[in-house]
Amino acid sequence: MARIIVVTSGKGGVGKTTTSAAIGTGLAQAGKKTVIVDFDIGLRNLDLIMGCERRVVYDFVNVINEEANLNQALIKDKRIENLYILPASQTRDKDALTKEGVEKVLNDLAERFDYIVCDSPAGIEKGAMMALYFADEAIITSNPEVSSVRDSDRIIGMLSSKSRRAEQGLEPIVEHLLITRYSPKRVNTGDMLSVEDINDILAVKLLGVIPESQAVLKASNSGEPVILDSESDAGMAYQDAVDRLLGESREFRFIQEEKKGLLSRIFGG
Amino acid sequence: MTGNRQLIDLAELLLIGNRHHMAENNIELKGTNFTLFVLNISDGNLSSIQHALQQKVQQAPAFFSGAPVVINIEKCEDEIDFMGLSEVIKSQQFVLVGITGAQSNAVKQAARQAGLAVLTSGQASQAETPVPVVEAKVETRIETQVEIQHQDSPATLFHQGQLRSGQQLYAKDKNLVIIGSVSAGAEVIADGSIHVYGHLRGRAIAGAKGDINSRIFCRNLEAELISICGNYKLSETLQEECWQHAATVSLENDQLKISNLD
Repeated sequence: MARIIVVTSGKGGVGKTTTSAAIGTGLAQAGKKTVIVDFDIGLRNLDLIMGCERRVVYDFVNVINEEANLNQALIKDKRIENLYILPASQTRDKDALTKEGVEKVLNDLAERFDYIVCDSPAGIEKGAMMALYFADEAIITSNPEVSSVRDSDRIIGMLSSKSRRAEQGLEPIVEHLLITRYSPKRVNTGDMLSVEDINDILAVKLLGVIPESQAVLKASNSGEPVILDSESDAGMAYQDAVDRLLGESREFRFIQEEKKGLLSRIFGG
Repeated sequence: MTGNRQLIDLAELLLIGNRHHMAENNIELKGTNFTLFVLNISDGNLSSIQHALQQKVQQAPAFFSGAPVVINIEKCEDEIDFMGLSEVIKSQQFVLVGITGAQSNAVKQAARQAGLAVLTSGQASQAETPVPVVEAKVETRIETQVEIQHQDSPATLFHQGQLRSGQQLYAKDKNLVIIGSVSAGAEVIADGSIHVYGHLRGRAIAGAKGDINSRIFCRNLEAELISICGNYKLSETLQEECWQHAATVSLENDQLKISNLD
């Protein structure tokens, strides 16, 4: 039985698509058949982050409207076995998503995949609601910043009231908190909310803390999911998060400020 | 709304009058309750009464000045000079209303002739102890007039878990208990009181239909807004009062009063 995981946040620009790409890639690397579905109709980004933008022929909306079948729309990743992408339409808007249409596509995908990662658009309108409605698990992505945390809180409320599981009185959606763009140094200077602060407000189990990293921008622009940059701090942090998602236990890294060694202090490394 | 509520700080309360209403064209005669001092005396020695009373008054002159007083002569065997007693009481700035505890009709008659009302206490003094010359305050009786509200449904709405930003909960005609936190941007409203067993970071509106006795309780006060019967305070003005502490909010004289619960 496939697990449907929605990557959501409420606020825009906090790293949902980066996270969807990294987590989806990580799951596929772990041997799980995984598809990442771009729900951000009209603002197609996932294909860029995944580096498959030149291979998009049909999209999610075409499949919903039965203008194409799933095989035609799914894009197979060239690097990782077991990884597919279902891109969004750039020319349509969110109204193209209907509950029945989305359900049918997800049911078809569920027959072929172990994990379906839904990359939600920002906001709390139709697109975001469609992305979270059928979810079994949710990765709530939040920056260590008050407005992002409040929007995440809003989305968590919707997960527990507006989702299929809530409406049908099933087991609630499993919630995971992923904090992105975390800078321990700025937490120590009081510019940024700490992991504890965020946890105190949201009270959701922590899946991972991704440090603020140059590697993320570099990965986005080169179309390589950052988790493939296994030397980078962000790549390692995402790998830890994937491992935790699969039930492994991992120490939290990159949440303490690094002590500078003598040499780097002298030479300003 | 509750009716006529009397607060008793000190001394004894005596109830006078029954509750009968009589409306005339331009006057209205009706019975009601007042708080009065009762002075118990054990003999008719005016000078010792005056002396003891003077000592009493010196302890709190402002409090006793002009206070209405009733003399209880139940324990007094002597014949009393009511005119003289009246003067003694007046000299200590009390206003003598009447006597109570009179056993015989002759005594009652004497009191009436001295211009004093003869009262029958609803509850006779039960003090058995040897009575000193003057003894004040024995018992307290409080009468509160309350309109009983009949409610068909349980009077409390329970919510288990955190109330998230954007969520709103209204406990109509009920108290509201949140077992969890109320996030910033969430709103809890009750016609009765609100209890939050967690952080109160959002808005809490108690007594939404005007129950002035409703209150707000929380384990940690960080609210955006608190309101009882439309009297509200914003987080800006809450910063000095129990901020981030366990607190209760009540309404006193149309002012929100915030008290620490720690």
